[in-house]
Parts: sequence; C-alpha cells; structure tokens
Amino acid sequence: MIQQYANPARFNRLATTLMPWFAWPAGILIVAGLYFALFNSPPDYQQGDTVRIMYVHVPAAWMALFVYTSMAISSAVGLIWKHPLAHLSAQAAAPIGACFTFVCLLTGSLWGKPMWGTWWVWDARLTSVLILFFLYLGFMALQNAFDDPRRGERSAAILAIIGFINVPIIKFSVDWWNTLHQPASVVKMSGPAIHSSMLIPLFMMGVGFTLYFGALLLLRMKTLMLARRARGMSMAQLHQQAAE
Amino acid sequence: MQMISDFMAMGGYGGFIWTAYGAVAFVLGGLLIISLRENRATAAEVAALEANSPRRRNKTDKEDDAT
Repeated sequence: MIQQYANPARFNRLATTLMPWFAWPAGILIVAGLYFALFNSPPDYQQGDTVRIMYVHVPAAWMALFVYTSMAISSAVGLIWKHPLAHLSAQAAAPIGACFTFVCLLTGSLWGKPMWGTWWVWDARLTSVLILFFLYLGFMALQNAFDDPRRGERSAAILAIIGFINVPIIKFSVDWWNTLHQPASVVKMSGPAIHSSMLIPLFMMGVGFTLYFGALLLLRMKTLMLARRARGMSMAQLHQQAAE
Repeated sequence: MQMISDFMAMGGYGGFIWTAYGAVAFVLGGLLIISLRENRATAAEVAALEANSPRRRNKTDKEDDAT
C-alpha cells in the first residue's frame, strides 16, 4: 500500500517538473512549423496550395497511431504488472488520441474534396482510421460502463490490446489494398520522397504535436490522480459521518 | 492588401485550407482548455475536502491514494 502511494506522489512531483519542458518546446515548434507550413514552403506541383493541409493532417495521423500504441502498451502493463499508473496513463491518453484521430479524418476530408473530388470514400486507409476513432470512443465508453472502476479499466484495457491489430492494418493498408489514399512518402524503406522544404515543417509539426501530447498526458494524469484522491477522501468522510 | 488577399485565397483553395487549420486549432486548443479547467476544478475539490476534515488529514494522507 505504501509502495502504491509512493509512486503516485513521486509521479505528481515529476509531472509538475516535466510539464514545462514539454509545453514550451511544443508551443515554439508548432508556431515555427505553422510559419513554414503557411508562408515558407512551396505549393505542390500537382496539388497546389492544398498540400499545406498535409502539415496538420499527416502529424495528426502519426499521433493517432502513436497515442493508440502508447495506450495499448500501458493497458498491457496495467493488466500484467498491475502498475498503478498504467491504466491511469491509458485513460488520460484516450481523449487526446480521439481528438488527433478526429482532426486527421476532418482535415483529410477537407483535402480529399478539392483533390479527389469527394469528401469521403470507403477505401482501406480511410475506413481503418475511422475504426481507430471508434476504438478510442469504445475505450472511453467501456471504462465508464461499470460501477466498479477497476472492472471498467480492465475491460477497456482488453479492448485496447485487441484493437491494436488495427494499427499495422492502418500503416500497411495503402500497400495491401488498392486505395485512393496515396502510399507512404516519409516513413518508407528507401527514405523520404519529399523535398526538405516540405519535410522540415512536417517534422516540426510532428515533434510539436508529440510534445503537446506529452504535456497534456501529464496534466490529465495529474487530474485523474486528484480525482481519485477526492473520491477516496469523500468516501472516508462519509464513513466518518456514518460512524458519528 | 493584394498580398494579404492572395495569401488568404491560397490559390483558390483558401476555404478548405483555413477550415482545416481552424478545425485543428479549435479541437487541440479546446482539449487543452478543457484539461486545464478539469485540473483546476479537481484540485479545488481536493482542497475543499481537505479543509473539511482537518482532524483526519494526517491519516488520510497515507490512505487516500491506496484506496
């Protein structure tokens, strides 16, 4: 019991110290990335200025997968080693991942309309990302579906682990199936197929989004821990009142 | 002025591009604001509960996180 208490308390101090180290670089990189993305990068020779949507769409897609992967790992750690912070981390990450996935779908749609002539198409990449979005929503719903929060977090953890199969499907969907979505241009065996004038702002946004996720994850974990503490204290007070 | 309106037009795709960037700012900024508010509200709740039970403070400090 003391061990379990010690970890969250130490984590809380560590999170408070670390948060600015994520938040400030995130802000600086995103602002600088936006400057390059909107002012200082060339229009695409085929897609014109719509290519600028890439600088938010692609990092959001990376984050959608990255956050889900981190959630599945935390869930597995929570189930196997019962580390007190693991389920908390998955629970804190889920809404952030859902937001990134939503943004990815929305900006993709806004890019698809002018370039493909359609807002949406049921091809493998788009459909598998939509499934990812529903996995996030399902995770959050399942977590709150039980009176006993422990059962909720265990059930949600199992969903997160099973749903992880979708992550490689999303990554390779553009190779395995004939999709309208273009294949990978950055993360591939032969190296990136994008000029550095586009690659640099893309990476700035990608790293910026990752650090934004880090700062927000720490903040949300702190909140969840405070909420747990509040629950425990109000329960103790109720018991005390009942005893008096 | 011409430069600004050219920039906003984005080669005729301005509507799509600005909506996309606006949506990103709205969703990611909104999540940040909601998370900060939740944190502040929960911290206030804990502070109120602590003020409410001064006698048990020493004991609950050890107990609450282990529940």
